[in-house]
Amino acid sequence: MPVRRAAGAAVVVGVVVLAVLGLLRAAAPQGSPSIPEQVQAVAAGLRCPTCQGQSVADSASVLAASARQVIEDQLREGRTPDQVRQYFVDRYGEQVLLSPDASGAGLLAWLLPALAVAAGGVFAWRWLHRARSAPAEPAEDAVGGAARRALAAHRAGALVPDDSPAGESLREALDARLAAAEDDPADAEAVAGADRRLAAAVRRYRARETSARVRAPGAVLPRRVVTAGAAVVLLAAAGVGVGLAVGDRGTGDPVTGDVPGAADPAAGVAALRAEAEARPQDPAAWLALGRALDRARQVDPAVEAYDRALALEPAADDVALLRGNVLVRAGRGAEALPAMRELAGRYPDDPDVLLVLGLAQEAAGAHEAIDTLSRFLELAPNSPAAPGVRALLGDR
Amino acid sequence: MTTPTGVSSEPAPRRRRWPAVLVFVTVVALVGGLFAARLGGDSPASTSALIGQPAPPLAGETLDGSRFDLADWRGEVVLVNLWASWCEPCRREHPLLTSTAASLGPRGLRIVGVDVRDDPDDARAFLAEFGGARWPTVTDPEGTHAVAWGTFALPETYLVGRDGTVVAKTIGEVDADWITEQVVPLLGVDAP
Repeated sequence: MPVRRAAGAAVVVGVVVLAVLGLLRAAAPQGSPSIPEQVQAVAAGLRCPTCQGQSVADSASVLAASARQVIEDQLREGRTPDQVRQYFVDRYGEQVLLSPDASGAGLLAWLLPALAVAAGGVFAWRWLHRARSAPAEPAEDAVGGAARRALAAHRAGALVPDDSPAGESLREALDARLAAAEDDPADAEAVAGADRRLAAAVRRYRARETSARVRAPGAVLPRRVVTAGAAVVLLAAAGVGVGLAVGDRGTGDPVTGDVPGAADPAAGVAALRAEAEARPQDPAAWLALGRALDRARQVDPAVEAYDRALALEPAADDVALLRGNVLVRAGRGAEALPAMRELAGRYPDDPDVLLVLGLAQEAAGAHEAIDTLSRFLELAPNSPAAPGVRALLGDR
Repeated sequence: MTTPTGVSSEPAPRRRRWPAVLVFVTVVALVGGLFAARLGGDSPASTSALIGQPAPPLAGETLDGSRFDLADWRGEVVLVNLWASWCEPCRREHPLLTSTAASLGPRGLRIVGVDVRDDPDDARAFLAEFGGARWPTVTDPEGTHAVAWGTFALPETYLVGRDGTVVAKTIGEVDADWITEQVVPLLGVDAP
């Protein structure tokens, strides 16, 4: 236990030290910044004075440029950033500052997050500490005392273990303690060991009683429930996030590369398959199923689901692209070739189409692959897939 | 006889939750109040940090090539009108300014324009549409005068009192009520 506590303390200290170092580094002045950097820094802290809800035609958003000009002029005249900020506050009022002034009501805005973090930390520490201190190993004296009290209570008939597992082990511990004392009262080590065992058994026995009657705050069950609940919430959030990311992905977005993995794609797949089969005429349901299968790397079923979606909605070019993409990744690029050629005919400048087409051509051994992939690199030199494509082209 | 009273089971003290709930609710209310105050108090339509303060300096070249300095008008009631030819509301408010100049000019009102981030030729054409310039207009090609006056958007009009402090400000088109309520009282009743 002390080792675990020490490790926990070390982790906490480490996190705090890292956080403080990060803050210091972030807040540290970066040498002596140039005037443009200072202008940028001051301007970033000031609210755009013209964004008051007027339309672009009616308002003078160019005044933001004027504000930057004023900042630069004043910095060049040798004023400090704080003086420049004050110049704007004098004219536009306190609300021109994006971060509230650290005084008056503004101070509250600065302090509250820190207070909230501190309060949260204290709360979490007490909660964890309470939960842990209950079963913590008592000091040696207390062990002996608890064991002696239990023994006395047992002899007085006040402590009769029931038939539960905890009661069973308590009974055994009582017997062992009595045996240790009878065997050789001088063997203090054996008695102490039996004491420890008895104290632990009593504690477990008592915990059985309390957890059966009232769930003490911080007792085992609620904590487990909270942990499981948090895990479920996190997983759900991750699932929704992935779902949104995938749902938002149109033909204009990169389709290659892995979608950040959900925790268990199989579970989602089953639900989506049920959904698609319940609504067999809904291309969106088949598309969703195909994407889930795609993520779960079940290539054949994914292609099948995409085919169903395409059969219902032949003009869905994004589905065709996804289908080509999954085929290429599965090493079946040649199958994707006709559809991808057709797509590329209509979207000759879409880098994603070109990428999948090029990979399909490459898989089919077609010599146009080099041209297609080179064009992809021209159009999307910074695509996440670009390094891989460059390597591929370099090999040939 | 199965009660383990002999084992001196000290019951875990049941912690009362309501103080924590109270603290939570208070914090949420405070934060909400703070945001509400900040957001709600954000309407600068009639307020300006400059009101009650000395008017910022306003000196520079005018559209007709002469020089203007607001300090020369110390002791007068002055309307400082920030505008630009590309600004549609400025066009809409201009007739009212012209008639105000005509009616209140004899009672001592002075008007000076500040042409913000504009092409001088466009600005002159704009004034010509309304029958020519009736008051000086300082050019402000970089908009720095506008910023010095705390301008949010064009048009804006500031009222400077005889003591050289900013008395009032209006964002957007000047309207007749503002002239009546803010400008006329400063002029006194010495003239019809």
